Amino acid sequence: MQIDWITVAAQIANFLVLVWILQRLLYRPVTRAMARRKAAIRDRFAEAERREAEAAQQAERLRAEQQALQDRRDAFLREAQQDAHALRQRLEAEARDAVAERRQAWEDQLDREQSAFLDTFSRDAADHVTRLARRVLSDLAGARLEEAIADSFIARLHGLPEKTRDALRAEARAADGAMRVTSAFDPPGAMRARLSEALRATLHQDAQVAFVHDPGLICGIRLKIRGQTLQWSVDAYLDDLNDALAATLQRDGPAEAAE
Amino acid sequence: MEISPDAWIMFHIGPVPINATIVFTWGVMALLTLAGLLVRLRLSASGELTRAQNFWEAVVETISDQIRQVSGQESGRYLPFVGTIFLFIAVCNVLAVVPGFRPPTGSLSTTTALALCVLIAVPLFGLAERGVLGYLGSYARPSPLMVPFNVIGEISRTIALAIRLYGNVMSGTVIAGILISIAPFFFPVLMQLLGLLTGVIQAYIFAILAMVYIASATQAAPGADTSKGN
Repeated sequence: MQIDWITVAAQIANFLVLVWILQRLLYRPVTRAMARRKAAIRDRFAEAERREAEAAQQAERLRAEQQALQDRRDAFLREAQQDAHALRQRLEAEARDAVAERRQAWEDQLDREQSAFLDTFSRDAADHVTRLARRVLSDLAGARLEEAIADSFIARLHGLPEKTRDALRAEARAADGAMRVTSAFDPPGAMRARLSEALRATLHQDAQVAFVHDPGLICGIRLKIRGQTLQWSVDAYLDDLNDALAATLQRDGPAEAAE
Repeated sequence: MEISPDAWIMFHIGPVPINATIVFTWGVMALLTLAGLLVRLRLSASGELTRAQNFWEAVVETISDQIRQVSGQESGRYLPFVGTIFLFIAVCNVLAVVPGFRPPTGSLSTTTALALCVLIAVPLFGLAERGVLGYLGSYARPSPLMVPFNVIGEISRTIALAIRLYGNVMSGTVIAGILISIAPFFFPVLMQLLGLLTGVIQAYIFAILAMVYIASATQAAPGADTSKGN
């Protein structure tokens, strides 16, 4: 066992050279390559984390947009339902109004037809009653119809209730005995005298009677003193007939309309 | 029987005799250089790695990890020195199975050279790390009276380092030679296989001890006693 110092020196030199060579060819390149690969892996991980975070943000944004879309759809749906409800109510109201209008028009037309019918009927009935009364009066008493009318008027004048008679007398006094008798026919002198006499006897002793001929007054006599009127005519009977017919039509009309 | 390859003079360069130790060392250096060159040329930082790069990355990473464990520091500064010690000794010892190859680590001159390198490297790393006062002050701990003993300890552990490696490798070679002369067919194979194992272990021990000495010199805390025996 001996030490060759030349060999020792050579081996030290060899070792140092080997350290330098391996440092240049092995350690530094390998460690750098590993460091670069680690950095690349770290970068890939960081990129993956960044993309994951980005995806999470995007997912969150999509969820928010979806929620907003859902909310908007719900709002539209509610609005559409409200609009539809309002439209239905408006259409129903319009339909009701239209039905009511048509019903009103129908009822108005019915009233007009009823009035026209009654008017025609009353005229026909008046003519018929007049003819019938003329014939009945002539058959029964042989007097003229005008005489009978005057008699009826005078009888009614005498049979006035006290209160009505007082009111007429007060009017006659206020008018200083001026009064007007309107008739559907032109009374002869005797009839005028009878009527004037009856009026003086019942209302005012100085009565000044003016006789007026009015063909529109059907088969009757009307006394007018200022605001007071006393009348006897077939019109009253015809009015009663009209009222009876109208009541009958009113009673039957709604029943037919209901059917 | 020649125990040391130092005595095997292969040729002369001028007046300087070149023995087998130096020649085989050059061979090992050429082998490691070639391996490093191949790795360097086909180095890849991404994608598929070659088997060679994978192997060398595993070796370098393992050495770095050992350095980190022993020193508690980053391995970058110590890797070339400690790694080269391990690779050189391991390759020399593993190549002992090649017929005709005489491992340079079986020469006391080689192990002495490596031990001297460690002896010089320890204070150099210590001075670089802790400064002149910090490093020299460690010899006066725990008391200035301990300075001679610390110096003797420094020298003796270097000698022990050299002789331990030399003895192990040389003994393996001697035992193999003796067994070949006695039972040339079976036992030498087993001893050679055992030699591979002990050769790598010796490389590991030498490198780790060198790192321990360096770590004890570079760390401020005292007591990193490293006089581990074999």
